[in-house]
Amino acid sequence: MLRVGLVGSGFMARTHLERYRSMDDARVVAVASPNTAADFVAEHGLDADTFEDATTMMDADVDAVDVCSPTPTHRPLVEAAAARDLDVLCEKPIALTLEDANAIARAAADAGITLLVGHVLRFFPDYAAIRRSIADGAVGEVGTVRARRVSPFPDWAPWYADADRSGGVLHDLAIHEFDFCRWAVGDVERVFAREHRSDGNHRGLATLVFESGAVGYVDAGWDRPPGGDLTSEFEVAGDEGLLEYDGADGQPLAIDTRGDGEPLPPPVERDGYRRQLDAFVDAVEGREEPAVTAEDAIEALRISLAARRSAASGESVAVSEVVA
Amino acid sequence: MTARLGIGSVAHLHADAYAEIMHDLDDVEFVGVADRDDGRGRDFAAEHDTAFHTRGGLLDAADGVVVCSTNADRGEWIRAAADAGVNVLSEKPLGTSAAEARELTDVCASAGVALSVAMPLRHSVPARQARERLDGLGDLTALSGANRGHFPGGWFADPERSGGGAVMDHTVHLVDLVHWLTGTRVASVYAETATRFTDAAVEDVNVLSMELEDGTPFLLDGSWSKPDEWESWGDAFLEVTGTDGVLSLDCFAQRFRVTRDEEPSGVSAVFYGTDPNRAMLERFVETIGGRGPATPGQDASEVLAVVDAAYASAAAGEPVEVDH
Repeated sequence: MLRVGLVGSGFMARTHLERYRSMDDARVVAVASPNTAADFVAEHGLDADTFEDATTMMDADVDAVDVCSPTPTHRPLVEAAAARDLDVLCEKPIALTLEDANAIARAAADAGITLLVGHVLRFFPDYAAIRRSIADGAVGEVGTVRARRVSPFPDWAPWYADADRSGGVLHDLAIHEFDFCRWAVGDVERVFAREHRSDGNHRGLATLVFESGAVGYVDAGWDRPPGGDLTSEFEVAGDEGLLEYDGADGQPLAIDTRGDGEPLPPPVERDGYRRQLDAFVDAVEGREEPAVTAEDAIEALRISLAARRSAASGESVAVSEVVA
Repeated sequence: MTARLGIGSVAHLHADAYAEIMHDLDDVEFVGVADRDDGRGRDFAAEHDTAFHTRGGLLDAADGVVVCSTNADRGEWIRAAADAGVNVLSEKPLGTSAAEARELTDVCASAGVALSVAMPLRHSVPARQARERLDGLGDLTALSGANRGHFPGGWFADPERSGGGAVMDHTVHLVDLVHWLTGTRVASVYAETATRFTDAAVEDVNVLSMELEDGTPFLLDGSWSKPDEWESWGDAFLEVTGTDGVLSLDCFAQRFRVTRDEEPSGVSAVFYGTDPNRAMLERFVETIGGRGPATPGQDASEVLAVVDAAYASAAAGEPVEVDH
């Protein structure tokens, strides 16, 4: 039984907690959050210790730390966990800067801890199947890639709107697509990006050229009207075929009732978040290598940084130039 | 009034659809076709139950011609029609550069013949509804769209006759639609082009990252990336995001699918919306009758200026300002 200390009490902490609760081999035994840990534990009826300070929690009786706090906190938290020989699941993006990301990777390697970075799309049944299809030659040699993810502005926590803390939509949201594109199609050579930023409305449009010569684009938005759903689409065309995926399709169960119905659970036995936690436990227990390495997370970060630098400079940016 | 319409050159694959509509329209007398290739022209005339003429013969018999030549031959056809005092609906693009489009516009104006350019999306019912409702979106924040097709082959892949590949063929519809919807032109283009799906001498990948004059980013995928076996000829959709909402326009969404075991086997989609080509030809009849053109040459030259900039960007590897 892996005794997990959860850092954070926001949307992602809740998302993870809901999955831990159905797991036999891991349990959230402690929650750390500056002001809201006690409320979080009470709200979820959780039997867990609460801490205002995450490092104090790490000194208590936990085996692993699940870092669901804002991006700039990742480096000190992972370093503190590594110093205590605690394994870490760290939310994406790994960090805001390459310097912080490298420090995280170094700390984990030096301490010999398991570090898995939460590029959760790799664990989603849909995205995992897309990657397998491409690898199996479904479309032949890849020509174009279309990756899209749009949602309302994440207004549940103020740090998203602060570009100094979240990096904005090209950093925090588009990095899902950057990592997945790299995993499914290959390394990216250069990026050109444009951005729109206004109050509660943030969009990033990035073109990618892969080292293979394939051309792709990532369309990421926090610009849907409030209350809307997150939607995602992925398409890859090759010289032998076309793969089209729309996340809005594939709803195997719909229930319409008079009055408010209970929301339906994910229509799979284990959804992407659960599969990610299982992969983390497997890695900690030595059954599997971490499915997303620090190096993977750093490469995804470099694409995000290239996109942000391109949007700022108005020029295309080679990923190889992103070295600091 | 009844307008006497003909088709000047049947090189372009849209000629078949126009012929069927011309037969069908009550106020159109379909007087026939002409083509520099006798065999091709006669076969087309026989297949569509109409007359085959010399160019001079067709221009004598018609009040208006739809010029469906190769892109390279378009100017020669339009000049001949203008000389003969015959009104022109030109297949797109209006020549292969903005300079040529301006010249052809002047030629028609001097000759006193009407010139319109085949931009069927301006006649799409959902596109017209989108234009009515655009104000409700507030200030524009982002545009993202696609107009993909399968590889058309033939002269489209011969740069001498086409003037270019997917950039020349599949940029103009969505850029014209955006110009027409928003009243704002594309000011800057960054292009990623490649030849990935075939070994053609022209590009089949056309991914454009653009910016409108008001700074709104506009991403367009106009690649020839659809497999021949795909359910339809291609697609045309545009999402417009503003400070107050999102508009999603899919001009050919109204379709159902048919799957057949017997030849011709496979999956095909049947469009059941209002045919924009038919509305465009009806509108051309009104243009012959004295109403201004639906898509004047000036508008077509503004779109070709974007195409010029896209090719310049692809060559330079950096964004290029559009020379309006």
